[in-house]
Amino acid sequence: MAPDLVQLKDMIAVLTIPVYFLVAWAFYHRNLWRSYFFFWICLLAEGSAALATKLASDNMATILLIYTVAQPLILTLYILMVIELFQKVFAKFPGVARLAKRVVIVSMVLAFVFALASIGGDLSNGWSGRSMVFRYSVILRTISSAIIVYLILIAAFLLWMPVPLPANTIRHSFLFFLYFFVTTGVYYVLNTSNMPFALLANLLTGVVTLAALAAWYFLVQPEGEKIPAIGSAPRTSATDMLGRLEALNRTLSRPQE
Amino acid sequence: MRGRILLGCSHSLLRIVEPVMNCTFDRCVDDHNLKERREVLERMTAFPVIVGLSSSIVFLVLLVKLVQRNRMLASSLSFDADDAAVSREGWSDEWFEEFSSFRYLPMRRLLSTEEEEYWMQSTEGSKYRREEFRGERRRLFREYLQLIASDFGRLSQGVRLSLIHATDDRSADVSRLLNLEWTLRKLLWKAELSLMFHWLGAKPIDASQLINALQGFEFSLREIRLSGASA
Repeated sequence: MAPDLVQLKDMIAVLTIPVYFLVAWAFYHRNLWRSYFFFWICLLAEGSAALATKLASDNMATILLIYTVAQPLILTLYILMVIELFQKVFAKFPGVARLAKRVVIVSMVLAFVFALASIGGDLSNGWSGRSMVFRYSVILRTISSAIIVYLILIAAFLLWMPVPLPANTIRHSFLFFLYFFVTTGVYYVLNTSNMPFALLANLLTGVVTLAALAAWYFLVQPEGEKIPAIGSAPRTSATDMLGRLEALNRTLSRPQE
Repeated sequence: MRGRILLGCSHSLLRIVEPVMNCTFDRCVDDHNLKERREVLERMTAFPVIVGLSSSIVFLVLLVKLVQRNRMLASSLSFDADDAAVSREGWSDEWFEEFSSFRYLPMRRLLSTEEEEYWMQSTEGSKYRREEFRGERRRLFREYLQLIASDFGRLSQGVRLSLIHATDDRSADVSRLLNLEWTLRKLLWKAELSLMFHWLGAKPIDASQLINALQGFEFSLREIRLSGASA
């Protein structure tokens, strides 16, 4: 069984690299790359890092160098692409733009407080190769769990303040949540468990990455950028309520003295 | 995405990662602490799993509600009878044009002792009749409260829609409106609570407070809509 899993993992690894660039090209072709600029840059960065790592083959020093250089950039892009997702929607509604900005900042702060509380003492000491890799994995877990909490807080705000959302924003947020949820779970097990989980973790993250990329390719279309028109609800049966109220008021009529 | 670079494009990197896991957690601990560590691990595993599952359920529920609301907005132009049931409690400009909190003024007399005494004198009622009268008045008061709660819900919705419609920044109004909303909610709860114990002789809430709070909310909303219209 184990050799088959390894082959499957390698196959997914090889397949994912061109899919990164395919999705990036699709976004460029559909003129969505400006709307989701940080996401588009992230696709290119991840794809390039994955390709470079694959080309480096068994050269561990090179792989570690690529990882060390790419990781901070990609982690930063994760945060920026999630913030940009809703910020561009809020910018279209000046009445609540400033309030929304405050909500975004507060949500991000709360999310990171929660995420940092969850990592406990997982960060190891020192900057040797082994501990650095582990440290980066904990940081990634922190950021991905913070993003999950942030998405939940923003969704709750959007439910309370009825800002109409383009379909693409909803699809993006679902895919982000799915991807970061799986990442957080996988890295939590890796950081805290003694189980030989690395192969399964690779497979799981590989499958989710490929599925998410495919979903981004097919679901995020130019038509989905349209914001539903906000207007009043259809004319309601207010006469029912008014009738009840008038009936109540009539019951309180006092007889003439 | 990251998993692949950390864990695994090659087996040699896996070898780097796994010993770190072992050393960090299990093998570096004294033997007599091993069992304790495993118990802690089991507890740690249950809590994150619960938190993780709960957060995913919460997010999915929120997302479904957002999608439903988007669909309602999209279909608002093609109104049909089926949507009426859904939108019965919703905001509309026409409803707000007809709305006035003055319609609730008769509520002030409902549970007043003067009203009760007047009725007792004019009908020569017994103690039993008095209780019947009070019960009926409580029922009417409760109906008024339900209507106020329904109107309040619509006004809240209208406030938020007006803020979104606004062409200039209305963030300063938000905290004021939130305060008004919170005050009215507290009064509604207080009214319900005092009504529950009214049969025991507890003094009911003064309906004027409710009506004044509702009026304040209504006027704030009119002010926002007027300033938006003039802008």
